[in-house]
Amino acid sequence: MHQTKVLLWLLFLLLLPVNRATGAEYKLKTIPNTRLTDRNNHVSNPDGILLPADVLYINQALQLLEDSLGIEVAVVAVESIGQNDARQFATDLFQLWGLGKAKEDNGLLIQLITEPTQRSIVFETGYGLEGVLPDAICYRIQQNYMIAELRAGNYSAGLLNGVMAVKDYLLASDYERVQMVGAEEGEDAVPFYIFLLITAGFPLLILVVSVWAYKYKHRKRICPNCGQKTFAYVRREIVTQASYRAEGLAVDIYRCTHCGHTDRKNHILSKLHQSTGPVIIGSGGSFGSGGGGSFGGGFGGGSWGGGSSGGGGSISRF
Amino acid sequence: MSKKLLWIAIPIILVVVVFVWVKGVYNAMVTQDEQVKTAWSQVENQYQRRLDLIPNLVNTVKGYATHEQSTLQGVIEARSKASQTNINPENLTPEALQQFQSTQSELSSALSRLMVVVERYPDLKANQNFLELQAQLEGTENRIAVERQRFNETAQGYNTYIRRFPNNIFSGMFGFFPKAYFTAESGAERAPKVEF
Repeated sequence: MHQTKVLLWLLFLLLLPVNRATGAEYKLKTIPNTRLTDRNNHVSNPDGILLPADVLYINQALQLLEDSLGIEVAVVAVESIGQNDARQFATDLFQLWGLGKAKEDNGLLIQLITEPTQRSIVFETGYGLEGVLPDAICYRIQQNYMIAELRAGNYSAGLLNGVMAVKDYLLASDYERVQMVGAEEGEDAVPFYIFLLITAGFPLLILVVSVWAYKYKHRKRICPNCGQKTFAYVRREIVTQASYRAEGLAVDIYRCTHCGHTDRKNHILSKLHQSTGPVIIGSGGSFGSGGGGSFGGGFGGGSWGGGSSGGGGSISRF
Repeated sequence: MSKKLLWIAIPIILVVVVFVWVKGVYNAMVTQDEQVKTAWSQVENQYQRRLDLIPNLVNTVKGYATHEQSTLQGVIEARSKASQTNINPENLTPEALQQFQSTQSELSSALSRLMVVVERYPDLKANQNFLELQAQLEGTENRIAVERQRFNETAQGYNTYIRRFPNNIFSGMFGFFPKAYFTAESGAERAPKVEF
């Protein structure tokens, strides 16, 4: 078990540089939709254009945006999409992934391409965002916050600036605040204290209860012989084992430490029960053992809401 | 006795089967017809959006490019012509669509002439308002391209459905006729390139 894990990691490490070397031209289907494996990951960064720290900041900002306004933003940064038109590509990718909630179409795709002939930053807005984030604003954000850095080759910094500007703009806008209640939202957002309770509180409770049960069993009782409170449970002796067919018999032995009086009480052992196997709670691999392959800290895979766009947004070439 | 019953039952069953079948075909045609109309209204919306942008754009350019009256006049005329050509979605024939497309592409080429002229005015190109109008115009052109493509896809689905056997037997009878497609014209695809 341990060995296979190590082997998998080695395999992963071996594949990593190969992937990078060949990661030249992306097609719609080959751009990794990171959201599918980790629902908190909004950034698809297969060529490593964005710095890990910036990806973290971007994800935090976009998660905040999604939690407060319900707007789903995806960031894609790749070197090349071949001969495809950058604008058309963004529209198609938006449609393929279905950014934004299905009924509200409140998605936004931010697409960066760094290959010299295609260098561009595209904002593609869903139908539902066109009103709050019109093309002119997209263009303004690109020009004022991103282009200077992007031209200088600081792709990561430029994109981070842009994402922060979009976040600030949308949070300050009059876009309707989403209701915090609702089945979908409640299911996703597990409050921290519940998480804590399940992971730490539950084992603690079991420990406390078992200690208490042990103490209760071994408590000092009043000896029927000498009357001192020194009479206590010592051990259990099994006379006949219980089977699936018949009950068993055991003898509980009590002894007084003061006068040495010993008492034996019969105890019926209940029949064994057929069972299909041990039930292990939480065997889904929630603690980083790789259930579904989410990268550390995620709550597993998710998906976009199925929204659509009509080609709104803005492109800035640099 | 039982033979007589059979002679009554068979026609009834046949009628019911045919009814259910024709009903399904007819309703599918209605649904797809409505989808084409919706797609068409989206196309018209985006073209209308472009028409609405133009006066603003013309006014902004006027303030800077004082020697380009003829180009501006060309845009205004093409706009008014384009705004008069409307298509009833019930009547999406190739001829009607062709006419719609030609007036719109005239407007597109008038706009691209304007965008070329604008290059000569650095002050205008530095104007924030103009730049944003340009971005809006470009976004609108992109929306038009997207909606045209979606219209074509929807219309193709509809056309395929009504022309397939045996649906074609009923389509003419019920008044469902093939819809026209947008065709790619030279320069009409993504009309004024306003990228620098």
